[in-house]
Amino acid sequence: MRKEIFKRETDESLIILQCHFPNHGIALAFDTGASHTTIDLTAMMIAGYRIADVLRTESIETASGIIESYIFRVKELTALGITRYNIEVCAYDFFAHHVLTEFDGVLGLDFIGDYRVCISLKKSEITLYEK
Amino acid sequence: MISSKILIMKVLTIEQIRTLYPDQWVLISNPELSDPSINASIVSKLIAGTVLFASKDKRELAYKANELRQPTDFTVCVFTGTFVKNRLFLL
Repeated sequence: MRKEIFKRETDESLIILQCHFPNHGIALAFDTGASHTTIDLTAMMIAGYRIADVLRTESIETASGIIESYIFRVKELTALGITRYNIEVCAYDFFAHHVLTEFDGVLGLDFIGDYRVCISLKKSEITLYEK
Repeated sequence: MISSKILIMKVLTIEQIRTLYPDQWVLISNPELSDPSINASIVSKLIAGTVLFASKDKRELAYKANELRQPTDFTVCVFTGTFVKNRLFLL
């Protein structure tokens, strides 16, 4: 069992997680309504990924419509104390789609599939249990 | 014209960074963050770090990042402007 603490500014704030590639830290909103982890393309590039690394493109459905996204194979990504290797991540240019936020993307269900997850907004904590 | 600067290596506090590079995307190496055990936005936790590059255009920063970073550097990117308050998100 593992516990992660988060801090929300207000009751309307998202749960923002500190995550990192081996060489670059990012913030991802924890989104249990998202099937896939999705990251701003610029954050991917800062972490060293290039368009030439794209495996394929895929259409993804977002709240603001269908977007063509790039699929990368990420060598290593750590979030919630979990490090996943060689995982596929969606990326698109947030700014080009009018997304300007303090986070770099969303951590989706694909990242936590090996865990049972309990989120307590009252205690501001996420508890992860290995299945 | 895009306003951007390649900067002299010096550790700055977040207050200094906000003053020197207002409303810009800033690439910071070896950041010092408050309380690593609590998850929150990076900009809210940043205490200090070495500024590698600053630009109004995040994409320019993304293109430059790999030539500016040393192989051993750990970086974060923060925006020194303000985001719209009280926004509701539907992700």
